[in-house]
Amino acid sequence: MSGNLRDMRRKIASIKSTQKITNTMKLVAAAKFRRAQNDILLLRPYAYKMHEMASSLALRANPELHPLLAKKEEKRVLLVTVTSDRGLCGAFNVNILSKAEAFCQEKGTQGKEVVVITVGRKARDHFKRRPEYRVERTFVDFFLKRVEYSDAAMLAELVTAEFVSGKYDAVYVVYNEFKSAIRQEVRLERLLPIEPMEVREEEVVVDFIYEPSPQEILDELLPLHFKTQMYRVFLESYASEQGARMTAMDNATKNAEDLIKSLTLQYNKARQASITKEILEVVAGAEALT
Amino acid sequence: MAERALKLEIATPQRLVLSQEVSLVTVPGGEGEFGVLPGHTPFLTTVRPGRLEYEAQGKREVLAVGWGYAEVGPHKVLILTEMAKRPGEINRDEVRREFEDINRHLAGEITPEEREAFTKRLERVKAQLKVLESA
Repeated sequence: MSGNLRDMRRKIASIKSTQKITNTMKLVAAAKFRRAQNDILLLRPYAYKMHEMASSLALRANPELHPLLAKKEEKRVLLVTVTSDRGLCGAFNVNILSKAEAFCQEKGTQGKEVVVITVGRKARDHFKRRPEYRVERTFVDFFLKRVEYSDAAMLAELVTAEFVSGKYDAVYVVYNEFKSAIRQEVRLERLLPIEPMEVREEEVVVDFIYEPSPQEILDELLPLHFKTQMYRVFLESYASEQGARMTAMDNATKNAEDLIKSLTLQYNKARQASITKEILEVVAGAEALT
Repeated sequence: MAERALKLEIATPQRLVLSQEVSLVTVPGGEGEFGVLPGHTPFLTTVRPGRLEYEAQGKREVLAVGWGYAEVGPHKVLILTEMAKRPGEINRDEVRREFEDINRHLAGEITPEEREAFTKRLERVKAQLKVLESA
């Protein structure tokens, strides 16, 4: 009986130390979350307006003017899968990865070839175990500290170069869009070629007058647009990740609390039962003597 | 349609600076200053550091802007730039110090890339000083 009690004490102590860890992780995630939320909320208006300018351009300009506008038949597509580097953030990565797989399968049944670039350790590890998907490149450790614009720009430049060279006909990205601390939404978007803005039918679409030449403006503006969108995707994902971890760790801390309560109750009951039993034995022994 | 006003929007990577109906805008374009009234032809150009002016409800307002892009449509002017400050947001002493600092660097030994970067910064600082003087 006393061995049983010791086991229970040990179990309670171990849950308490786990709870301490989850609680600390929650606090760390909360601090990171505030900064990440701030970053994405500040960048969004600029990124959305940049998108507005680029899609208006895609609508008006001759697509032959710039390779990032050129719409081709989709034969080979690239999917950039953005996950986190660290775990313990609930369904954050699972949702992304299942969406990514569904996308690959869907395009596969249409006879298209899908190439994957993974961002984050979780995506890398996931696809390593699934050789049926073609992973072209992996990037890790973008999300260990604050998201760097230079990382997003580097990836954007690389993808742009490969897109321009004709290696892919379209570039998609799958990521978690930040909604609130407790909510994120899996988004699948086509980033390249740049989608023309939707217009009402009666609207007459005229091309821009460009100053300086269209070539000069497009050569600068479109790559900048793509880098900005990639940076936005990274910031969205990072803020979502911290929010998801905060929520997951908060739940874990609460669950540990419940577990500790119920185990302590069981432990006390068992302890009382054993004391009662001992007293009974002593009384019975004394009675036997008299 | 013609009298419908012009919507001016200015965004920087740090925030959406302005989103407002205006009747007239003057922008420091890469190829020279240009004015926009409602009904303008679609037009896409670069923006260089300088003084941006607009008129809203009969009042003239001024902003110092940095490098960027401008999209003009019949009823909209969208400006994406690295910087956009109202005169009240510019700290004269700070900008003066930066101005002197950059000039010191430009006078010293630097690589061509550094020279280009400093010259770009100098333009931005000059734009802020110009706006302060005229305000």
